[in-house]
Amino acid sequence: MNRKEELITRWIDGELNAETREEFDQLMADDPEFCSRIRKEAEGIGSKMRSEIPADVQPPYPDFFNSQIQKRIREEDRAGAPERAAGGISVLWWLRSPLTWGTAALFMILLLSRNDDGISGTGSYVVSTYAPDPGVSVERAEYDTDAQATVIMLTGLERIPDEVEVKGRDITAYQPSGSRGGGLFYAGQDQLAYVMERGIGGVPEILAR
Amino acid sequence: MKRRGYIIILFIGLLLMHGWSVASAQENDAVAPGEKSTLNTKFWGALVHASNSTPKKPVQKELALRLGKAFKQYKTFELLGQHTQDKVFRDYVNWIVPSDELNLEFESKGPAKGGGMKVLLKLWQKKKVLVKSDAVIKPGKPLFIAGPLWREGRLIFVLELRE
Amino acid sequence: MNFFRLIPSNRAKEVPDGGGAGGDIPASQRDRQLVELCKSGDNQAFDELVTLYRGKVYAMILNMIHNDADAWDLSQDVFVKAWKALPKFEARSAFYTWLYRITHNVTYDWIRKRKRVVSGEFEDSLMEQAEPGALTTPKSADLPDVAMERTELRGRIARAIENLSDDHREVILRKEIDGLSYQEIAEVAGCSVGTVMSRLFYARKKLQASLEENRS
Repeated sequence: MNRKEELITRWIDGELNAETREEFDQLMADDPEFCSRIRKEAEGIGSKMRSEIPADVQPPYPDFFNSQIQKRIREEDRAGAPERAAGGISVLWWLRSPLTWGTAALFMILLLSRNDDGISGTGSYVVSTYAPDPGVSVERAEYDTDAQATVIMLTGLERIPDEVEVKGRDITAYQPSGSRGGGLFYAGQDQLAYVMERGIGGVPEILAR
Repeated sequence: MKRRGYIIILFIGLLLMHGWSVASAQENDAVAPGEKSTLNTKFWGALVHASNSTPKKPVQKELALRLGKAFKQYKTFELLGQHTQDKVFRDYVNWIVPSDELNLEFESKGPAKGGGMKVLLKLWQKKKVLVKSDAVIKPGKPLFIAGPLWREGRLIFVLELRE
Repeated sequence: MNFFRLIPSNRAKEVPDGGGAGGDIPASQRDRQLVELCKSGDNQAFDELVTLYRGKVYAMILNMIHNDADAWDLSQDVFVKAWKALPKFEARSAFYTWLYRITHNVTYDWIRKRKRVVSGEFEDSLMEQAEPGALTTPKSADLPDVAMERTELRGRIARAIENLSDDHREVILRKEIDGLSYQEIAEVAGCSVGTVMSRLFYARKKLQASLEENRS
């Protein structure tokens, strides 16, 4: 980038200072058409950009967005809490007490006797849920030890009328389409079962079967 | 002296519970982006109708047993459709048994520390998202997502990770 | 119980916006006050900052990487990192510049890692073809991460911007869309003012050429 280009760029962006203003004024006097053309082009580009590209886009599910951040912060704070302990205090005096060790032993017995297949164990688990519809609630989202499965149970759902036919197919192959989440579903020997696309707002739409 | 003892017991209990919750929370930690996906990951999904009538095509026994324990009010479970998705890549949107009424969308977010896969689930009823959920799914430990009521029973999605 | 609705996130309506007659406090002062509250551990104050800036942060990332889900995740990462780094924030720059710097770092980290993944192990596996009747596998070699949801919807200029390098794209977006000064862009991008000007000039030149090419 040469000096001329720099001066014009500064001028376009309103970033001339006293020193560069003087230099630019000279440049403008020497070649006003060139300066104006470059500026017009730059302003045209800026204008087109602003018409096509948003400066502010709310993330989907904004309440959920915030709550997830709060959740992660709480987890980070819990993990980092020992580092923030105030210095200069002897916290080890309690270690000498037999009561301490007795309590710890009791706690470990209780801990080990739990069936820990859930959140901290070997089962699948739900990290978080969010129901955007205010009429719908998550009644349950937890590991069921008996069933050895994680259950998400919702209330407030609209019942599907009996006369509506709900049936699926045994899908054996899936080919994604160009748009995010769309695809071709095959059953049996390359028999096309569904064509799915995403509509506005990501709504799934079965186009053909 | 007695009072000091009680304070010590309470303090230790809280400290141990804190340590336990930190350990649990750390299991949820995401793996670093770019870490290799489990390329042999296979998901099996199904749409099941839970009711008390005789099913035309019952689900296999072990699944029926588990569903029965999770949803005690239902005795029979009919398989309406199933879908095995092989080699699920990170951030790849998948669907379980799509239909006009109900759809379960899931997206693998890569392996989770402590085993299993992180998934982002979205349950749709027609054009509406019923629930959005982050979960970790582990082999042999399926997710049951209970949907709306239909014909004297309830529709349930099953999602399972198979190694 | 849907316990995730317990945290209100619309408190931005109660926080005065910057500027304006009628006694509203300027945005910079509002941010400073909220930051001070955050430093004393006030999570609600941080939640308000998130609400105030989530739209900008999300848009900035989305405009760089064009992937909704990743932009969502990365935006979350930005705010969590901001929370962790807040104790070190000394208000030498505006809060938003500091936040956008974190946004830049998070975005570039993602871009770098993405490039490594795309050029590495994923490609071979995606070339595998399924046998007929086999269990479900993708039938074509299609990188799941590459398909851009908005490709068809974006205009000419937006598509032309994608052809710029990450550095040039970032600078032109910060200038024309976010309205940052050279100094602010330099702070966000971690480069000199001279580099900002040079990248801006080049980006405009390239975009102009691209538009003229399309016209002809």
